[in-house]
Amino acid sequence: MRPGASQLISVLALVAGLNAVAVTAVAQEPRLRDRLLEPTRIAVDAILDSAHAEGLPTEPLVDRALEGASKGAAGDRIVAAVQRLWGELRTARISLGLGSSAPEIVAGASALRAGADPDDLTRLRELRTRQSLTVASATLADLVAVGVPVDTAVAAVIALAEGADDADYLAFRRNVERDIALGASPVTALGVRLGAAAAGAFSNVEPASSQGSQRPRKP
Amino acid sequence: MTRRRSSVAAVAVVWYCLSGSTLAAQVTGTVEVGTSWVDYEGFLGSGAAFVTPTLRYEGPDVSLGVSGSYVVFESGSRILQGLMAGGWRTRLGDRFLGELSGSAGINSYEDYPGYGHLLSRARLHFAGPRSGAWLGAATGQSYAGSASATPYEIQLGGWTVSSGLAMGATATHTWIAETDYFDVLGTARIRDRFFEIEGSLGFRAWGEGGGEGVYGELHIQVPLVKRLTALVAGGRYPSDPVRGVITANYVSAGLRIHALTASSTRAATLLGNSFGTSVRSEPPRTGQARLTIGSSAHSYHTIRVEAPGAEYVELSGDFTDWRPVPLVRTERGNWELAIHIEPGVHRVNVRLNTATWIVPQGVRAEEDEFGGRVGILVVPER
Repeated sequence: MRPGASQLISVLALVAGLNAVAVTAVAQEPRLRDRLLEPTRIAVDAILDSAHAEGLPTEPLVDRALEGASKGAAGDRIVAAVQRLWGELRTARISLGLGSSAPEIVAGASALRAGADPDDLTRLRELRTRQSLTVASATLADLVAVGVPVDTAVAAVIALAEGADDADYLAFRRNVERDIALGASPVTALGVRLGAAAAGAFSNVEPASSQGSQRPRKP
Repeated sequence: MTRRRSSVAAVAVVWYCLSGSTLAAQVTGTVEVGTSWVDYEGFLGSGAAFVTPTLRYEGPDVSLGVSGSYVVFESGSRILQGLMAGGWRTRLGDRFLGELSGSAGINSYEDYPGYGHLLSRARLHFAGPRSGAWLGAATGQSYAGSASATPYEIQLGGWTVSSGLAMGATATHTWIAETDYFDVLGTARIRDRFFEIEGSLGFRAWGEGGGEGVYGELHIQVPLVKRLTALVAGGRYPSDPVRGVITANYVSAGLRIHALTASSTRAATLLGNSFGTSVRSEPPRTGQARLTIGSSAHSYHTIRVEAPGAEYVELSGDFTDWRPVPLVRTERGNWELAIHIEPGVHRVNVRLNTATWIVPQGVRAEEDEFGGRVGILVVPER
């Protein structure tokens, strides 16, 4: 069987499995028109249409398809990536609440992919009802990425949830990463920075200059 | 040069100086080849092959050495390391010995930013015929890519020797940037005609950001034939922020070929035994460019990429619809782009000189589902 025919069949099979509207009814995303082969574009458009019907943000799905296209990925791989993200967005939206913003849902999906549990996102939302969860969720994913165990990272992000603003989260993450780069274990770095934050020392968790001007206890 | 090695070196220096050794100056050259399995903390374990050439000069008062290491991991990734070290010793009365030493090291992983250090050290030894102690301090500069920090270290050590057994212990406190840590390390070395065994056991505690725990290593050397020694080593070593080393467990096996002379030199040298530790390097996780983002009006942000030496820098991400956008060169190797980016989590790659798309430093890297990696950029709400 020719590769093109194989791809077409697999893509159409995915479309059929979307439990979505008929292919003929799918709206076309103009940015995909010149970037994807026709079978792939049809499959992605079907996912977009379904996501739109669910009230999910479709922009990240379009972006994922464009990313795959720009990286020369095969059509079935692009569709699979978009489909997976669609599922993550759906789970994130359910966990964070129907009123969540698109950036929050995208960040929540990123945290879920990093290993966070949907219940963790729900807990985070409960603690930060008035503030955006975008940076907090992204921080969770970042901490896991640098080697902090998921449960520990979740506990840290939740511990900061009530008092920290976005800048605090960014500084916290930056300092943990910096400590790790300097040799600390991820858990130790997290513990030290969390301790500083718990002591109300957010203003002191900004990284020192590389020349060590804030270095404590110089011999 | 790790503290363990330098500690053993100091023991050896005093040992030989005070035992009346009148070794003439000599030059030795060795090449070590072998394989290792190393498990860096936070990474998957990996096999590696290494080759480590070393050239040393040992004089009555001066030691000099240069060592290199070329390591290839299972993935095909390679580490290239280099170390130069030298020391000068002089007697200060009957019981005291002064020692000044320095070292410069660098290691690079593929084409990513490397680590480097320049360190100077001073020690005052008090030495008896079979035991002694020293007090020392060290400082210099540590480099990680374009960043640098000044480390400080103070150390108290002691040693004793008797019929083929040398034992030493050190207590060291190190400060670098916002990190500090305290290490206690004991070493023992047994040597006879058929083998040499060196073991160490230590712990790290009472610090901030430097980790804590117990570590130890065992090195065994067995001369096989003239000019050839079998080597086996293993254990766990702690992180060394000064030299860009992260905690790891490892085992190694290999051979040392005595290329320049087969004679054994002093029990240790300022370079120490590079075997088994040649994979002491942090595998960097991001590319040789660093991305930072600054805010400006109306959701426009300035993306800055530090890429010294690059002739052309492009960026592609979800905020460019994944189309390459060239950056504009500013000054001192910086490249910039002012672009509209909504708050949220974004995906981005950077390309230097039309080569492969990479994940720059400054953003989190993750698998992109298309066989490569992508950077995750977080833009907070204003």
